[in-house]
Order: sequence, then C-alpha cells, then structure tokens
Amino acid sequence: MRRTFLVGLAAAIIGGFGIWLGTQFDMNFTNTIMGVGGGVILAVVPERSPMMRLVGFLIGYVLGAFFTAMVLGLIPGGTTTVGLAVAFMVIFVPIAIISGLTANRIPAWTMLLGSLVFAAGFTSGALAEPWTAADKFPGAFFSILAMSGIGFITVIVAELVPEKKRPNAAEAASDTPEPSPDADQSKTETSQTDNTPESVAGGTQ
Amino acid sequence: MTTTKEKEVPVPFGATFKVPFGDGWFINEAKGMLQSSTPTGVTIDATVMNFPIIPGSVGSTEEVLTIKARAENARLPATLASYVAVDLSTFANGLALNLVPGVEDKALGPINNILDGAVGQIYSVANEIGGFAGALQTLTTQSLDPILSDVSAVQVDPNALEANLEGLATGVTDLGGLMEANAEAQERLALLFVELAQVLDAAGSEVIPRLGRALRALGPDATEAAEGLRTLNKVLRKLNADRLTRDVNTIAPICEVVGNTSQFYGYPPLELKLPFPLPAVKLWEGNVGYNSLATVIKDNTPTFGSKPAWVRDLGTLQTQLDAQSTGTLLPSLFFGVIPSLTPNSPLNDVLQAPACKTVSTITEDVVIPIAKLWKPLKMAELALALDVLADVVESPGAEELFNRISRGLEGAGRLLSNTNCSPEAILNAINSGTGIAGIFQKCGVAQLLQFFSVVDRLVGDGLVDLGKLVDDLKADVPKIDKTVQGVASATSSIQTTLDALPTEVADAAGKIADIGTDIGDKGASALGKITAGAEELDAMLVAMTERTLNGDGTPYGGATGPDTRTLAAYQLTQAEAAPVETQWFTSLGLAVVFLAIGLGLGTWQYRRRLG
Repeated sequence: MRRTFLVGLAAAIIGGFGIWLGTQFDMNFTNTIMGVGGGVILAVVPERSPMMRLVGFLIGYVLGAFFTAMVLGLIPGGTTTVGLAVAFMVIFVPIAIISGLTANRIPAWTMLLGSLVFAAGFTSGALAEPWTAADKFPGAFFSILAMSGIGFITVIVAELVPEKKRPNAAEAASDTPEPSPDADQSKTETSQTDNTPESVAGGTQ
Repeated sequence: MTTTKEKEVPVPFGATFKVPFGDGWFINEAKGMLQSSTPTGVTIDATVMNFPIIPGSVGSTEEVLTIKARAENARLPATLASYVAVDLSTFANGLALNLVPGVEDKALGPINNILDGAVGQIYSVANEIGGFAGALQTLTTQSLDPILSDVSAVQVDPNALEANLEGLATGVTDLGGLMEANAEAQERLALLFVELAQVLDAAGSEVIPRLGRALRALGPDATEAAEGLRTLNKVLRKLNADRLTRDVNTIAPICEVVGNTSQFYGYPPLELKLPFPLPAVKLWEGNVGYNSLATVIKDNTPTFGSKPAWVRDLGTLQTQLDAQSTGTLLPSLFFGVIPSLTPNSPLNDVLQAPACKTVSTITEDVVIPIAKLWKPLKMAELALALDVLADVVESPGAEELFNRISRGLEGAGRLLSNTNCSPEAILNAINSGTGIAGIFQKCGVAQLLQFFSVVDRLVGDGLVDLGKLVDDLKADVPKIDKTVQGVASATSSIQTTLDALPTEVADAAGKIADIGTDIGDKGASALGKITAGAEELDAMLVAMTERTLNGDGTPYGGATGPDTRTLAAYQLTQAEAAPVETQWFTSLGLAVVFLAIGLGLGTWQYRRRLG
C-alpha cells in the first residue's frame, strides 16, 4: 500500500513535470502523454532490472517506429488489413525471437510497450495528415523518447521503495553479467514458478 | 521575422482571425481554433470575444491566440483579421436582448450574397481567361466572348456596386497570379485592362480624389492590392504604343508616295532610321518582282529613250528603296514627290492604285486608333476606381456615379465585342469614310482583331510567292476595297503593325509575370479574403448571438452603446520558429539525459535492494 502511494505520487509529479516540459519545447501533447505514460509503466513494473527493461523498451520503440513507417507507406497498402497484418508480424516476430533467445531476460512486454508507445503516439495523427508524416516523424521519434525518459525516472522511487516481497536471488542472478546459461535458465524458471500460476503451467510443460 | 499589426477598436468587440497556411505547412498547435483543409493548404480560424470580466461569468479583456506551425522555405502567411464593435443599445437588466453588430471593417461591409456574386463573377472571368489556349493571331469571337459576357454581366446597381467593384479589384489582383502561369491570359487581360481604363473615363475624373480617400481608409491590405495594380499599370504603360504609332505613321506616307510597290516587293517593316542598313529588294531584270511588275504594266507603256519609261521609273523607285533601306531616304519623298518619275507613267497608276488608298484608310482610321488605345492606360486610377467603397456609397452623388459607371461598363462590353459585326460591316465602314467610329457602331475590338488576323494570315500566305501576289492583285484591283481577299492583298503593311502588337504584349507579359510573382508573394489571395470575410462575418454573428443569449454582453461603457472613448487593441504577431533540427536535438538531449538518470539511479537502487 505504502509503495503504491509513493510510486503513484512520484509518477504523478514526474508525469506533470514531463507534460510541462513538453509544452515548453512545443512538443505534441499526444506524444507527451504517450511518452510519459509509457516511461512510467516501464519504471514501475518490477520485472527484471531497469537495464533490461530499458533495453527492451528501446528495441520495441525502434520496432514501433518501423511499424509506423510500414503502415504509412513503407510497404504498399500499409493501411489495409493485409498490410497491417504484415506490419504486425514484422515486429512481433523479432520481439518473440529476442525474448526467447534471451530467456526472457529482455521481457517481451517491454518491447511491446516500446512499440505501443511510439505507434500509438504517432500513427493516429500521422494518418490524419499523411502528407506531413515524413516531416513530423523525426521530431515525434525524439520527443516521445524524451518524454519516455522523463517517465522512466519514476524507476528511482519504484526501486527505492520495493515491494515487500523481495525478488529472489535467482532473478537477480539472471540479470547479472556472465551467468551460467544453464544456471540462469533454471533460476529463471524457478523465479517464474514462484511468481505466477501461468508460469507454473508454462514451466511444467 | 516578426511582424506585428495593431489597431485600436471600440470595446466591447468581437474579432475573427484567419490564417491561410499554404502547402508545405503543418500545424503543430492551434488550441481552440478550427482547422479546415482548403485546396491550397490548411486554414486556421479563430474567434475572440472580448468583454469585460463579469464576476461569476465569462468574459475577458485580453485573449491570446497561439498558432504554432512549421514549414521550410515558406513565407509567413498573412493573418486576416476583422472585428465588430458591439452595439448594446438594447441592453437592459444585464442582458443584451438584441445584438446589432456595427461592422467596423469596411471590407466586410457588403452582404454575403453580394460578395459571393462578385466573387463568382471574378472566378468566372479568371477561369475563362485561364482556359484560353490559342495565340493572339487566332483570337476568335468564340474565345473572347465568354470574357466579355462576364464583364458585361457585372450588373451595377447602387446596392451591389460596392461589392462588385471590390470583387473586381481583388479579382484583378488574383489574375496577377493567374497571369504568372498563363501567357495567353496575360495578353487577354491586357486588352481587358484597356477597356476597364475606358470605364474609368466614363465614370468621370472627379471620382478619383474620392476614391483615393476610400483606398486609404481600407487599410494595409487594400493598399497592397492597389499597389500591385499600380505596379501593373507601370508595366502596361511600358507597352510601346509610340513604336506602334510610329510604324503606322511611317507606313502611311510611304504608301502614299511609293504606293503598293514597297510592300508588293516584300520589303520588311519600314524604319526611317535603322541602326544598320538593310538590303533593298532589287527590282531589276531577273528579279521576281521585276517580272511581275512588268507583267502588270506591259500594256500601253510609253518609252523613254530606248527603254520603256517604266524601266527608268523603276530605277528611280529602286533608288528610293535603297535610300530607305539605309535610312537616307530623301525628305522630299514625304511630300509626295518622287524625283524624276516620268509624268503620267503607268507606274504612277500602280502606285496610286485603290489598294494603296485602302491601306491608307485602314491604317489611319483603324490601326492608329487601335494603337492609341494602348496609350492612355490609367491603371493607377483604375486601381482606385476598383476600390470604390463605403464613403462613395455615402456621398450625395453616389447614385449618379453608379449609373455612369454602369453605362461605362455596358459600353465597354460592346466596345470589346459586338456580335452584330461582320467583315462586310468593317469594309463598309471603311468605304463610307466613317472611320473608326463607324466600325465600332457594329463591331468590337474582338471582331477587328479577328478581321485583321484573317487579313494577316492571307497576306502572310500571299507573300510566299511575290509574283503570284502581284498577279492576283492585278485581277483584284477593281474589287480591292470590296472583298476581304482584296483587302488582305492590299493591307500587307498592316501586318507590320499587327506583328508589333503581340511583340509588345509579349514584352509586357514577361514583366507582368514578375508582377504576378510579387502579388503572389504578398500571401493570401485577395479573392479568398473576400469569401473568408463573409464567412468570418457569419461566424462572428453566430458567436456574438450566443454570447448575447447567454447574457454575457455587458457594455464596457454606458448601456446605450459602446464607449468609443475606451479603446481596446488587437495585435497580431508572427514569429518564425527555430529550425526543426533544433527541436530534434533538444528532444534527443532530453531523452539521453533522463534515460541516463533513470537508468543510473534506478540500477543503483535495484542493486542496492538486491544487496
């Protein structure tokens, strides 16, 4: 309860600061909201280390930009059902592969979050005025990223006030450099088994 | 670049602002404003209602509208503002029951439908002009009449005159932009301007000072439009009417003295003072002209010594042509004397043939007056006349003025084109000696140009074979003043004049194109402004009515109306944005800094938590 309030308070303050800063730099409001919100989510979900979460987010962010570019014309018929399906596939496949190859050290949700933040923050406006999309793209890319960075500052408070249930050593070990692959795998599975029923099912299969 | 406009207006007042952004702009921010797509880009509309703050209710004495837009290599668009002072004479019990806006900006004076009518007419004219594709030589009644009908359709009555003329003024400004892209339209419009100048003459010179005051009262936008017209006037004044007149004045006496010979032998345009000598056409034996002329006068030829007299006379004539070609033509030639020409020579008969007389008649009675039309272009006055506005309407003699202008417009339409015309009518007028006045009784400039274009073409064909031309002439001389073909053969000198016409127009056209560019650079089209003004007026009335119904319309002054001693101000400020790259790098820098902070401190806390 205490952590929830503190983290929420920090998120509110940092979010407000981000929005204020966005207006000072003439940033698009939608971009600001999506960026700050995504950064806060990335900060407060306590799965994996901040480093791994951020790496996943950045990968997803780039994939989200690529997704948007495909929808806006990088591939023919990007806005059609088939085009959207192809675009989704093009970004989901790498996310699944990266997540799998890293044994979920880079969680899939962080990549999906990064993709969502950019795609949702930019695509709708760009589709409304597609002739301006190319001009707006670089600015939106950097400004949403900046706002995400501001929201991500919440991680300081989130980590300062951890959940009562401490992450077990296995999770920590999986994020440390040069772990033994086998050991990491068994520790990760152990950790997941401890955390969620779904993991139990997955782990036993 | 930062531009600021400022003006004091009575309070309370409402205002609308419209900023038309062209292609290439994209709007970053326009809070509380309406964005609408137009064929030329995006237009931002905003309405401001400034009333004193009423406790517990709305109202403000200051409001700031911020539009943030970005483009590269673009000019800041003009901001069109209009405002109304609110007459609260019916204010009672804290509620303005019957809001009557007092339209302050005279540009918005006309009622919407009148404005729309004028705009429609101008659009129609512009479209017609823009749709022409032929050259001046192919000018036809079918192509010119649509313009003329539109011009004559500008029905003028006291109530609509203001709007019509204002629309015409802005239309002319827009046509400047049109001319930039359409050389053909430039030529057509030049003719149109001539007639409009005559309309002004019909309106009377006393109008000008009054219109000057009206123009100044219009403010900076109207001044810009008028300035464009004045500049256009300067260009049109450079149409070399002197040269045109000089050509025909040169041709006339030479034709009178030398007769058709100078032209029958295909001599190019005659210049008394050529900067360099041109070879004269040789008349002597073996030359096509010689043979042809010999055929013409071979019968009943007196002799002079051992040779036919006409041979000697041709020698004399050749001397004159040579002198003419080098610019040393004897002055005596201009007094009708050809030295040493055999008395009663048949050559004299040829030289004095009816063809030459016809040439002279047409030259003096038709060509010269047409050329003179190009001289008195009173475009500066026209610019003012087109901006007839409220103070003209309010003048005691306004109705009479309107009627005079109306008559002038109708007359101009007929002068431009008259469907009762025929080639026979032109020839009959020439033959009857009524001259240009007689021609214009049944014909307009369009028909004359068409007529001469036919003549021009026929002559051009005929000149290909000089011998054939002379032969034809021999057969046609008796009928030469009765048929178009005959006139075509006889009026080859007119070709010189007609050739000069498109040349001059083309010279002016290039300069007009520059003016069109200048006009285009001034930002929003004046034509669009009229339409926008009407829309703004509607929007304002709706907004203010809503305020009234809400009871927000509290007078700042007394309850009997706006206190004009208490003034508000509106100010328009435009500022260029920083380069887009600056924003990119700023955002990137912020991203790096905050991500680094979050990552560093977050990781440190994370590891500390894990122990």
